[in-house]
Amino acid sequence: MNIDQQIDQLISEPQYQFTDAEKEKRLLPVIREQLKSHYRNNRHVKSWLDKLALDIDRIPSLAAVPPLPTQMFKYFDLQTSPGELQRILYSSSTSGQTPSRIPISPLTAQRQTKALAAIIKNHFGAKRRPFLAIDSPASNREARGITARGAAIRGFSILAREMVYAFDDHDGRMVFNEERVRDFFRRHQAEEVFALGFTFVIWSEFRKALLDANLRFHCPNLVLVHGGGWKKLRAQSVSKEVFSGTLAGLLGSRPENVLDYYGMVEQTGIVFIDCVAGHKHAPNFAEVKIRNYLTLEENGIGQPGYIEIMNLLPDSYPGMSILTEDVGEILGADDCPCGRKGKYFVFRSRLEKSEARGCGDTFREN
Amino acid sequence: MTVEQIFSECFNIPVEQVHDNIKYQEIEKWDSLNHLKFTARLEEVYDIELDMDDIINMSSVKKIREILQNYGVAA
Repeated sequence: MNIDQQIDQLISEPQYQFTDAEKEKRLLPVIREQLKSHYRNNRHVKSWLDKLALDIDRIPSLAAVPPLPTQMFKYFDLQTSPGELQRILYSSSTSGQTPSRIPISPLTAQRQTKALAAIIKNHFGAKRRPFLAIDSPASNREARGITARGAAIRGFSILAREMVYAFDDHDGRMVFNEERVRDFFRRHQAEEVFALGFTFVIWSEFRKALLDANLRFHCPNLVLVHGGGWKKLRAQSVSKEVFSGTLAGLLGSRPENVLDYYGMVEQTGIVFIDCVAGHKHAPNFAEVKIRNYLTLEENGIGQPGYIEIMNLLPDSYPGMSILTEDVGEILGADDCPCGRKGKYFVFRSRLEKSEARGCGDTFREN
Repeated sequence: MTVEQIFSECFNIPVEQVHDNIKYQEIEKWDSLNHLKFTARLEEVYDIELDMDDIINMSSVKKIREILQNYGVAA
């Protein structure tokens, strides 16, 4: 099997089946081939690997794959596929900072779509459902490129039987559409509704709009999935528990149905959604490492450090070992009560002293 | 309405140019967003409910036809 076939197989096989040891065996040969290809196709990757004097064929373990800091996507063109691109994804550019620029080839885009569908199916089943996007349609409009918010809505929309946006876009401002949201819940409140949004948008805009309009719904089977940064909420002392409890109360669901996901624009196609035990798991085509703050060596269970995501989906950029500025902790391997195999982890925070990255791409403040 | 007509309408190509071998993303309009609009239209016209796998697997006109047949739609 060539590596494209191996990647297709990793996506199409049942997810979260590999033990920690199996994953090492399955992923390492693919990553070695990807590294060689990136080396050939991008001069920045070439000079990076040359400086490390790395013999790709002799990389002994996943932990030994050199981590690539996310900031590199701001400073270098890291396109590694020769053909035309499908689109470019951008991360936030808070107050004049350079945004990250992620080149997406048609092959990468196809794999991302399938990969995200495989993750969603594993967590929620294959049945499509009424979908409330807690955002405005503007976030998902393709102009030169789409943002993390748009990419998330677009990716999850495969789960939508009917898609309704809670907000309209008026001259770049988000305006709550009360009538449309009321109508949505009137028709669907007895069903398994799926709602998706960015954490900060849900809290500062959606929650506020519901309170202002004195709206409460009764939708016991609603699942609310939210992602993006917690920084701004933490500054307001809003914990995960308060967030989940408040939103579940307003929507008439249960706090356990409010699920946080961790994802980033550099790793589109992969989201780490809380399992019933509140843990995050890596699918077959990805792995998570926690690296020591100082040495960047791999940390063991229970030692917090930088989160590194290994992602086998892209051919158009080096996604095989992206070191984030986020802090997380591995809690265990192969024995999560939810039954998923492999390592499981929790997200702790963005690094306090890191350059301000915004909340994923939460809100432009201008 | 035939599947060719729906395809032609959603992806903005003349109905006589719709053939089995057209693949996902091969024509400009057949991107991920329009794909979902297209599958929603199929559901509406044929009164069926597709699941997520069907939508992913509808990667060519031929595959679309095959999947619709599973729902008893002679397309």
